Amino acid sequence: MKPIAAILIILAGYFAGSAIASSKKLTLDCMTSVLGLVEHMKAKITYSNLPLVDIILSYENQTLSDCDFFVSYKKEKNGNDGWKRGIRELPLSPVFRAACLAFGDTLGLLPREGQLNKISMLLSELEKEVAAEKKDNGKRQKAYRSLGLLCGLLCVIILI
Amino acid sequence: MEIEKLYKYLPPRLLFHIHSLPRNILECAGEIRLRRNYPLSISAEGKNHIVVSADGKAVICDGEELNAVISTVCDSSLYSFDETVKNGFIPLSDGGRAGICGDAVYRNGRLEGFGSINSICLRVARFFPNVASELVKHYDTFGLCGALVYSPPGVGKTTYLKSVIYLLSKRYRVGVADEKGELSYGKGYTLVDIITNCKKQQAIELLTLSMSPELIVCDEISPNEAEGIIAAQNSGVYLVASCHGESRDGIMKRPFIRNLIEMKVFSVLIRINYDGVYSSTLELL
Repeated sequence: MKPIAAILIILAGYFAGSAIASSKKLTLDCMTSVLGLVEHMKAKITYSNLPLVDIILSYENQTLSDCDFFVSYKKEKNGNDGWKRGIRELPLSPVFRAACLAFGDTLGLLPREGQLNKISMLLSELEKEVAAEKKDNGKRQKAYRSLGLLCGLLCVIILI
Repeated sequence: MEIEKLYKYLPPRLLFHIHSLPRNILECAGEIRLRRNYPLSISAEGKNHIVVSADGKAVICDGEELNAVISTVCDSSLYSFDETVKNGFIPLSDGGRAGICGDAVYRNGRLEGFGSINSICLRVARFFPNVASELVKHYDTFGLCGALVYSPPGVGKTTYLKSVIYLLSKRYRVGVADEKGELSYGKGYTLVDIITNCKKQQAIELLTLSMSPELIVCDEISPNEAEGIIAAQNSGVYLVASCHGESRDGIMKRPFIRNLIEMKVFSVLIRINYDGVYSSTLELL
Protein backbone atom coordinates (compact mmCIF):
# COMPACT_ATOMS: atom_id res chain seq x y z
CA MET A 1 0.00 0.00 0.00
CA LYS A 2 2.78 2.37 1.04
CA PRO A 3 4.61 2.43 -2.34
CA ILE A 4 1.31 3.21 -4.13
CA ALA A 5 0.55 6.07 -1.74
CA ALA A 6 4.09 7.41 -2.19
CA ILE A 7 3.73 7.37 -5.99
CA LEU A 8 0.36 9.11 -5.76
CA ILE A 9 1.76 11.86 -3.52
CA ILE A 10 4.73 12.41 -5.82
CA LEU A 11 2.42 12.54 -8.87
CA ALA A 12 0.12 14.99 -7.09
CA GLY A 13 3.10 17.26 -6.39
CA TYR A 14 4.22 17.01 -9.99
CA PHE A 15 0.77 17.86 -11.33
CA ALA A 16 0.40 20.78 -8.91
CA GLY A 17 3.72 22.12 -10.23
CA SER A 18 2.52 21.59 -13.80
CA ALA A 19 -0.72 23.45 -13.06
CA ILE A 20 1.20 26.46 -11.78
CA ALA A 21 3.48 26.25 -14.82
CA SER A 22 0.53 26.23 -17.21
CA SER A 23 -1.07 29.19 -15.46
CA LYS A 24 2.19 31.07 -16.08
CA LYS A 25 2.04 29.89 -19.69
CA LEU A 26 -1.53 31.24 -19.91
CA THR A 27 -0.29 34.61 -18.64
CA LEU A 28 2.27 34.69 -21.43
CA ASP A 29 -0.32 33.60 -23.99
CA CYS A 30 -2.69 36.35 -22.85
CA MET A 31 0.04 38.95 -22.98
CA THR A 32 0.99 37.84 -26.50
CA SER A 33 -2.69 37.94 -27.51
CA VAL A 34 -3.23 41.43 -26.10
CA LEU A 35 -0.10 42.56 -27.91
CA GLY A 36 -1.56 41.11 -31.11
CA LEU A 37 -4.85 42.88 -30.45
CA VAL A 38 -3.12 46.24 -29.98
CA GLU A 39 -1.23 45.72 -33.25
CA HIS A 40 -4.54 44.88 -34.92
CA MET A 41 -6.06 48.08 -33.50
CA LYS A 42 -3.12 50.10 -34.79
CA ALA A 43 -3.49 48.73 -38.32
CA LYS A 44 -7.26 49.24 -38.41
CA ILE A 45 -7.20 52.75 -36.93
CA THR A 46 -4.45 53.76 -39.37
CA TYR A 47 -6.26 52.58 -42.46
CA SER A 48 -9.96 52.71 -41.66
CA ASN A 49 -12.73 54.58 -39.89
CA LEU A 50 -14.13 51.46 -38.27
CA PRO A 51 -15.56 52.00 -34.79
CA LEU A 52 -13.47 50.64 -31.93
CA VAL A 53 -16.03 48.01 -31.02
CA ASP A 54 -15.88 46.51 -34.53
CA ILE A 55 -12.08 46.60 -34.51
CA ILE A 56 -11.81 44.81 -31.19
CA LEU A 57 -14.51 42.25 -31.87
CA SER A 58 -13.12 41.46 -35.32
CA TYR A 59 -9.88 40.24 -33.74
CA GLU A 60 -10.11 36.47 -33.69
CA ASN A 61 -8.13 34.98 -30.83
CA GLN A 62 -8.90 31.79 -28.96
CA THR A 63 -6.94 32.69 -25.81
CA LEU A 64 -8.81 35.98 -25.33
CA SER A 65 -12.13 34.27 -26.10
CA ASP A 66 -11.40 31.51 -23.57
CA CYS A 67 -10.61 34.15 -20.93
CA ASP A 68 -13.93 35.95 -21.67
CA PHE A 69 -12.15 39.14 -22.73
CA PHE A 70 -14.67 39.88 -25.48
CA VAL A 71 -17.65 39.06 -23.25
CA SER A 72 -16.36 41.48 -20.61
CA TYR A 73 -15.63 44.13 -23.26
CA LYS A 74 -19.21 44.03 -24.51
CA LYS A 75 -20.65 44.43 -21.01
CA GLU A 76 -19.63 48.09 -20.80
CA LYS A 77 -21.38 50.93 -22.62
CA ASN A 78 -18.19 52.77 -23.53
CA GLY A 79 -15.27 51.25 -25.40
CA ASN A 80 -12.58 52.45 -23.00
CA ASP A 81 -14.47 51.08 -19.98
CA GLY A 82 -14.99 47.80 -21.86
CA TRP A 83 -11.28 47.60 -22.62
CA LYS A 84 -10.38 48.16 -18.96
CA ARG A 85 -12.91 45.61 -17.78
CA GLY A 86 -11.64 43.04 -20.27
CA ILE A 87 -8.02 43.66 -19.24
CA ARG A 88 -8.90 43.23 -15.55
CA GLU A 89 -10.32 39.79 -16.34
CA LEU A 90 -7.10 38.54 -17.96
CA PRO A 91 -4.17 36.92 -16.16
CA LEU A 92 -1.40 39.42 -16.95
CA SER A 93 1.79 40.58 -15.31
CA PRO A 94 1.24 43.63 -13.05
CA VAL A 95 3.32 46.01 -15.22
CA PHE A 96 1.61 44.82 -18.39
CA ARG A 97 -1.81 45.21 -16.82
CA ALA A 98 -1.05 48.70 -15.47
CA ALA A 99 0.14 49.86 -18.91
CA CYS A 100 -3.01 48.51 -20.58
CA LEU A 101 -5.32 50.10 -18.00
CA ALA A 102 -3.62 53.50 -18.32
CA PHE A 103 -3.99 53.23 -22.10
CA GLY A 104 -7.70 52.55 -21.58
CA ASP A 105 -8.21 55.99 -20.01
CA THR A 106 -7.91 57.71 -23.39
CA LEU A 107 -8.83 54.87 -25.73
CA GLY A 108 -11.30 56.14 -28.29
CA LEU A 109 -11.20 59.69 -26.94
CA LEU A 110 -8.35 61.03 -29.06
CA PRO A 111 -8.05 62.13 -32.65
CA ARG A 112 -6.39 59.65 -35.00
CA GLU A 113 -2.85 60.96 -34.70
CA GLY A 114 -2.98 61.12 -30.91
CA GLN A 115 -4.58 57.68 -30.70
CA LEU A 116 -1.91 56.15 -32.94
CA ASN A 117 0.86 57.76 -30.87
CA LYS A 118 -0.63 56.29 -27.72
CA ILE A 119 -0.87 52.87 -29.37
CA SER A 120 2.76 53.03 -30.52
CA MET A 121 3.89 53.94 -27.00
CA LEU A 122 1.85 51.11 -25.53
CA LEU A 123 3.17 48.65 -28.09
CA SER A 124 6.81 49.39 -27.29
CA GLU A 125 6.06 48.97 -23.59
CA LEU A 126 4.15 45.71 -24.10
CA GLU A 127 6.78 44.26 -26.43
CA LYS A 128 9.43 44.72 -23.74
CA GLU A 129 7.21 43.04 -21.16
CA VAL A 130 6.36 40.11 -23.44
CA ALA A 131 10.03 39.61 -24.34
CA ALA A 132 10.98 39.56 -20.63
CA GLU A 133 8.13 37.18 -19.82
CA LYS A 134 9.10 34.83 -22.68
CA LYS A 135 12.70 34.75 -21.53
CA ASP A 136 11.73 33.73 -17.99
CA ASN A 137 8.81 31.51 -18.90
CA GLY A 138 10.74 28.47 -20.27
CA LYS A 139 12.95 28.29 -17.22
CA ARG A 140 10.01 28.81 -14.86
CA GLN A 141 7.98 26.01 -16.41
CA LYS A 142 10.70 23.47 -15.68
CA ALA A 143 11.31 24.96 -12.24
CA TYR A 144 7.65 24.73 -11.19
CA ARG A 145 7.38 21.09 -12.34
CA SER A 146 10.61 20.14 -10.54
CA LEU A 147 9.51 22.00 -7.42
CA GLY A 148 6.18 20.15 -7.48
CA LEU A 149 7.99 16.85 -7.82
CA LEU A 150 10.36 17.73 -4.98
CA CYS A 151 7.48 18.81 -2.73
CA GLY A 152 5.81 15.45 -3.42
CA LEU A 153 9.03 13.64 -2.51
CA LEU A 154 9.40 15.70 0.65
CA CYS A 155 5.86 14.86 1.71
CA VAL A 156 6.56 11.15 1.09
CA ILE A 157 9.75 11.29 3.21
CA ILE A 158 7.96 13.12 6.02
CA LEU A 159 4.86 10.91 5.96
CA ILE A 160 6.45 7.52 5.34
CA MET B 1 -40.82 63.88 -26.55
CA GLU B 2 -38.08 64.42 -29.10
CA ILE B 3 -35.49 65.22 -26.45
CA GLU B 4 -35.73 61.60 -25.33
CA LYS B 5 -33.70 60.67 -28.40
CA LEU B 6 -30.71 62.24 -26.67
CA TYR B 7 -31.09 60.44 -23.34
CA LYS B 8 -29.03 57.45 -24.46
CA TYR B 9 -25.94 59.67 -24.64
CA LEU B 10 -26.19 60.93 -21.06
CA PRO B 11 -24.71 59.52 -17.85
CA PRO B 12 -27.34 58.39 -15.29
CA ARG B 13 -26.85 61.31 -12.87
CA LEU B 14 -27.38 63.99 -15.52
CA LEU B 15 -30.29 62.08 -16.99
CA PHE B 16 -31.94 61.93 -13.57
CA HIS B 17 -31.75 65.72 -13.18
CA ILE B 18 -33.00 66.36 -16.71
CA HIS B 19 -35.93 64.05 -16.05
CA SER B 20 -36.92 66.22 -13.11
CA LEU B 21 -37.41 69.31 -15.31
CA PRO B 22 -40.98 70.48 -15.94
CA ARG B 23 -42.64 68.51 -18.73
CA ASN B 24 -43.59 71.61 -20.73
CA ILE B 25 -39.89 72.52 -21.04
CA LEU B 26 -38.87 68.99 -22.01
CA GLU B 27 -41.60 68.79 -24.63
CA CYS B 28 -40.23 71.69 -26.62
CA ALA B 29 -36.53 71.18 -25.82
CA GLY B 30 -34.25 70.75 -28.79
CA GLU B 31 -30.78 70.84 -27.26
CA ILE B 32 -28.89 69.60 -24.22
CA ARG B 33 -25.74 71.55 -23.45
CA LEU B 34 -22.94 70.12 -21.33
CA ARG B 35 -19.88 72.13 -20.28
CA ARG B 36 -16.89 70.78 -18.36
CA ASN B 37 -17.30 71.90 -14.72
CA TYR B 38 -20.12 74.30 -15.60
CA PRO B 39 -23.90 74.01 -15.29
CA LEU B 40 -25.89 71.64 -17.44
CA SER B 41 -28.55 73.41 -19.52
CA ILE B 42 -31.34 72.79 -21.97
CA SER B 43 -32.41 74.99 -24.85
CA ALA B 44 -36.09 75.13 -25.65
CA GLU B 45 -37.73 77.54 -28.09
CA GLY B 46 -34.71 79.81 -28.02
CA LYS B 47 -34.60 80.02 -24.21
CA ASN B 48 -31.89 78.57 -21.97
CA HIS B 49 -32.91 76.59 -18.91
CA ILE B 50 -30.24 75.72 -16.35
CA VAL B 51 -30.86 72.30 -14.85
CA VAL B 52 -31.06 72.49 -11.06
CA SER B 53 -31.08 69.77 -8.44
CA ALA B 54 -33.66 69.35 -5.67
CA ASP B 55 -31.73 71.73 -3.38
CA GLY B 56 -31.91 74.48 -5.98
CA LYS B 57 -28.23 74.33 -6.99
CA ALA B 58 -27.20 74.14 -10.63
CA VAL B 59 -26.21 70.67 -11.77
CA ILE B 60 -22.53 70.76 -12.72
CA CYS B 61 -21.23 68.42 -15.41
CA ASP B 62 -17.81 67.09 -14.35
CA GLY B 63 -14.95 66.03 -16.61
CA GLU B 64 -15.62 62.33 -16.27
CA GLU B 65 -19.25 62.76 -17.27
CA LEU B 66 -18.30 64.91 -20.25
CA ASN B 67 -15.77 62.27 -21.37
CA ALA B 68 -18.44 59.58 -21.01
CA VAL B 69 -20.76 61.61 -23.25
CA ILE B 70 -18.00 62.13 -25.84
CA SER B 71 -17.24 58.43 -25.75
CA THR B 72 -20.90 57.49 -26.26
CA VAL B 73 -21.50 60.10 -28.94
CA CYS B 74 -18.55 58.93 -31.05
CA ASP B 75 -19.00 55.25 -30.19
CA SER B 76 -15.63 55.33 -28.44
CA SER B 77 -14.01 56.13 -31.78
CA LEU B 78 -13.21 59.83 -31.87
CA TYR B 79 -10.43 59.10 -34.40
CA SER B 80 -13.07 58.18 -36.98
CA PHE B 81 -14.59 61.68 -36.74
CA ASP B 82 -11.40 63.68 -37.33
CA GLU B 83 -12.83 65.53 -40.31
CA THR B 84 -16.10 66.51 -38.67
CA VAL B 85 -14.38 67.40 -35.38
CA LYS B 86 -12.32 69.93 -37.35
CA ASN B 87 -15.64 71.50 -38.33
CA GLY B 88 -16.84 71.49 -34.73
CA PHE B 89 -19.32 68.63 -34.64
CA ILE B 90 -19.84 64.90 -34.40
CA PRO B 91 -22.85 63.50 -36.28
CA LEU B 92 -25.17 61.41 -34.11
CA SER B 93 -26.31 58.01 -35.25
CA ASP B 94 -29.97 59.04 -35.63
CA GLY B 95 -29.33 62.20 -37.62
CA GLY B 96 -28.83 64.65 -34.79
CA ARG B 97 -25.61 66.49 -34.14
CA ALA B 98 -23.24 67.03 -31.27
CA GLY B 99 -21.63 70.45 -31.57
CA ILE B 100 -18.27 70.54 -29.79
CA CYS B 101 -15.70 73.11 -28.77
CA GLY B 102 -12.61 73.25 -26.61
CA ASP B 103 -8.88 73.93 -26.91
CA ALA B 104 -8.22 74.27 -30.62
CA VAL B 105 -5.01 72.73 -31.97
CA TYR B 106 -3.47 74.26 -35.09
CA ARG B 107 -0.83 72.73 -37.35
CA ASN B 108 0.65 74.59 -40.32
CA GLY B 109 -1.97 77.26 -39.85
CA ARG B 110 -4.86 74.77 -40.10
CA LEU B 111 -7.23 73.69 -37.38
CA GLU B 112 -6.36 70.08 -36.62
CA GLY B 113 -8.95 69.44 -33.93
CA PHE B 114 -9.36 69.98 -30.23
CA GLY B 115 -6.79 69.10 -27.60
CA SER B 116 -9.59 68.72 -25.11
CA ILE B 117 -13.31 69.05 -25.65
CA ASN B 118 -14.90 71.31 -23.05
CA SER B 119 -18.44 71.79 -24.31
CA ILE B 120 -20.94 69.62 -26.11
CA CYS B 121 -24.27 70.67 -27.51
CA LEU B 122 -26.46 67.65 -28.25
CA ARG B 123 -29.05 68.63 -30.79
CA VAL B 124 -32.10 66.54 -31.50
CA ALA B 125 -32.96 65.64 -35.09
CA ARG B 126 -36.47 66.70 -36.02
CA PHE B 127 -38.52 65.53 -38.95
CA PHE B 128 -41.71 67.30 -39.95
CA PRO B 129 -42.52 66.03 -43.43
CA ASN B 130 -44.78 68.84 -44.64
CA VAL B 131 -43.16 72.07 -43.46
CA ALA B 132 -41.84 72.75 -46.96
CA SER B 133 -45.20 72.34 -48.69
CA GLU B 134 -45.35 76.06 -49.56
CA LEU B 135 -42.13 75.76 -51.58
CA VAL B 136 -43.49 72.65 -53.30
CA LYS B 137 -46.66 74.56 -54.26
CA HIS B 138 -44.46 77.31 -55.67
CA TYR B 139 -42.56 74.73 -57.74
CA ASP B 140 -45.83 73.22 -58.92
CA THR B 141 -46.96 76.63 -60.17
CA PHE B 142 -43.75 78.14 -61.53
CA GLY B 143 -41.42 75.17 -62.02
CA LEU B 144 -38.14 74.40 -60.28
CA CYS B 145 -35.81 77.22 -59.26
CA GLY B 146 -33.04 77.80 -56.76
CA ALA B 147 -34.10 78.54 -53.19
CA LEU B 148 -32.17 79.82 -50.21
CA VAL B 149 -33.50 78.95 -46.76
CA TYR B 150 -32.33 81.15 -43.89
CA SER B 151 -32.90 81.67 -40.18
CA PRO B 152 -30.81 82.11 -37.04
CA PRO B 153 -29.10 78.95 -35.74
CA GLY B 154 -31.32 76.30 -34.15
CA VAL B 155 -34.60 77.46 -35.68
CA GLY B 156 -35.09 74.62 -38.15
CA LYS B 157 -33.32 75.05 -41.48
CA THR B 158 -32.22 71.42 -41.53
CA THR B 159 -35.73 70.27 -40.61
CA TYR B 160 -37.07 72.34 -43.50
CA LEU B 161 -34.53 70.88 -45.93
CA LYS B 162 -35.43 67.34 -44.87
CA SER B 163 -39.04 68.18 -45.68
CA VAL B 164 -37.94 69.57 -49.07
CA ILE B 165 -36.15 66.29 -49.82
CA TYR B 166 -39.11 64.24 -48.62
CA LEU B 167 -41.71 66.12 -50.67
CA LEU B 168 -39.74 66.74 -53.84
CA SER B 169 -38.06 63.33 -54.08
CA LYS B 170 -41.48 61.85 -54.85
CA ARG B 171 -41.36 63.49 -58.26
CA TYR B 172 -37.87 64.78 -58.96
CA ARG B 173 -34.38 63.31 -58.83
CA VAL B 174 -32.93 64.97 -55.77
CA GLY B 175 -29.21 64.93 -55.00
CA VAL B 176 -28.23 65.61 -51.41
CA ALA B 177 -24.81 66.97 -50.42
CA ASP B 178 -24.92 65.95 -46.78
CA GLU B 179 -21.61 67.02 -45.29
CA LYS B 180 -22.78 66.82 -41.70
CA GLY B 181 -24.77 63.60 -41.96
CA GLU B 182 -27.99 65.29 -40.84
CA LEU B 183 -30.07 65.41 -44.02
CA SER B 184 -29.80 61.67 -44.62
CA TYR B 185 -32.00 60.78 -41.69
CA GLY B 186 -35.40 61.92 -42.94
CA LYS B 187 -38.00 59.27 -43.57
CA GLY B 188 -39.85 58.31 -46.72
CA TYR B 189 -37.33 59.66 -49.22
CA THR B 190 -37.88 58.33 -52.73
CA LEU B 191 -35.76 59.47 -55.71
CA VAL B 192 -32.79 60.51 -53.63
CA ASP B 193 -29.05 60.18 -54.15
CA ILE B 194 -27.09 61.15 -51.07
CA ILE B 195 -23.40 61.88 -50.62
CA THR B 196 -22.51 61.94 -46.96
CA ASN B 197 -19.40 63.13 -45.10
CA CYS B 198 -18.07 64.83 -48.23
CA LYS B 199 -17.23 68.50 -48.53
CA LYS B 200 -20.22 70.28 -50.06
CA GLN B 201 -18.39 71.76 -53.02
CA GLN B 202 -17.01 68.38 -54.02
CA ALA B 203 -20.33 66.65 -53.32
CA ILE B 204 -22.19 69.15 -55.53
CA GLU B 205 -19.70 68.59 -58.35
CA LEU B 206 -19.85 64.80 -57.97
CA LEU B 207 -23.64 64.72 -57.86
CA THR B 208 -23.90 66.95 -60.92
CA LEU B 209 -21.43 64.84 -62.88
CA SER B 210 -22.48 61.38 -61.87
CA MET B 211 -26.14 61.38 -60.86
CA SER B 212 -27.66 64.13 -63.06
CA PRO B 213 -30.09 65.34 -60.38
CA GLU B 214 -32.83 67.85 -61.15
CA LEU B 215 -32.32 69.48 -57.79
CA ILE B 216 -29.50 69.49 -55.26
CA VAL B 217 -30.13 70.10 -51.56
CA CYS B 218 -27.36 71.10 -49.18
CA ASP B 219 -27.18 72.56 -45.71
CA GLU B 220 -25.37 75.67 -44.44
CA ILE B 221 -23.45 76.94 -47.43
CA SER B 222 -20.27 78.95 -46.92
CA PRO B 223 -17.95 80.96 -49.19
CA ASN B 224 -15.98 77.74 -49.91
CA GLU B 225 -18.91 76.25 -51.77
CA ALA B 226 -19.78 79.29 -53.88
CA GLU B 227 -17.64 78.19 -56.83
CA GLY B 228 -19.12 74.66 -56.90
CA ILE B 229 -22.63 76.05 -56.61
CA ILE B 230 -22.14 78.43 -59.53
CA ALA B 231 -20.67 75.61 -61.65
CA ALA B 232 -23.63 73.36 -60.80
CA GLN B 233 -26.05 76.17 -61.57
CA ASN B 234 -24.48 76.62 -64.99
CA SER B 235 -25.11 72.96 -65.68
CA GLY B 236 -28.85 73.40 -65.17
CA VAL B 237 -29.19 71.84 -61.74
CA TYR B 238 -31.24 73.85 -59.26
CA LEU B 239 -30.12 74.25 -55.71
CA VAL B 240 -31.97 74.43 -52.43
CA ALA B 241 -29.51 75.49 -49.75
CA SER B 242 -29.55 77.05 -46.32
CA CYS B 243 -27.51 79.65 -44.48
CA HIS B 244 -27.59 81.40 -41.15
CA GLY B 245 -29.24 84.79 -41.14
CA GLU B 246 -31.74 86.91 -39.27
CA SER B 247 -33.13 88.92 -42.14
CA ARG B 248 -32.88 89.41 -45.87
CA ASP B 249 -30.76 92.52 -45.37
CA GLY B 250 -28.52 90.58 -43.01
CA ILE B 251 -27.76 87.78 -45.43
CA MET B 252 -27.30 90.22 -48.31
CA LYS B 253 -24.43 91.77 -46.36
CA ARG B 254 -22.49 88.54 -46.79
CA PRO B 255 -20.60 88.94 -50.08
CA PHE B 256 -20.82 85.34 -51.28
CA ILE B 257 -24.59 85.20 -50.70
CA ARG B 258 -25.06 88.49 -52.51
CA ASN B 259 -22.88 87.16 -55.32
CA LEU B 260 -24.92 83.94 -55.59
CA ILE B 261 -28.17 85.89 -55.67
CA GLU B 262 -26.81 88.28 -58.29
CA MET B 263 -25.72 85.26 -60.35
CA LYS B 264 -29.39 84.15 -60.23
CA VAL B 265 -28.52 80.93 -58.39
CA PHE B 266 -31.45 81.60 -56.07
CA SER B 267 -34.82 82.93 -57.15
CA VAL B 268 -36.60 82.40 -53.86
CA LEU B 269 -35.72 83.27 -50.28
CA ILE B 270 -37.39 81.38 -47.44
CA ARG B 271 -37.29 82.68 -43.87
CA ILE B 272 -37.92 79.99 -41.23
CA ASN B 273 -39.72 80.89 -38.00
CA TYR B 274 -40.27 78.65 -35.01
CA ASP B 275 -42.14 79.61 -31.88
CA GLY B 276 -43.48 76.21 -30.94
CA VAL B 277 -44.91 75.88 -34.44
CA TYR B 278 -42.94 75.97 -37.67
CA SER B 279 -43.76 78.54 -40.26
CA SER B 280 -41.97 79.86 -43.30
CA THR B 281 -42.12 83.04 -45.33
CA LEU B 282 -41.46 82.70 -49.04
CA GLU B 283 -40.13 85.72 -50.86
CA LEU B 284 -39.48 86.03 -54.59
CA LEU B 285 -36.28 87.73 -55.71
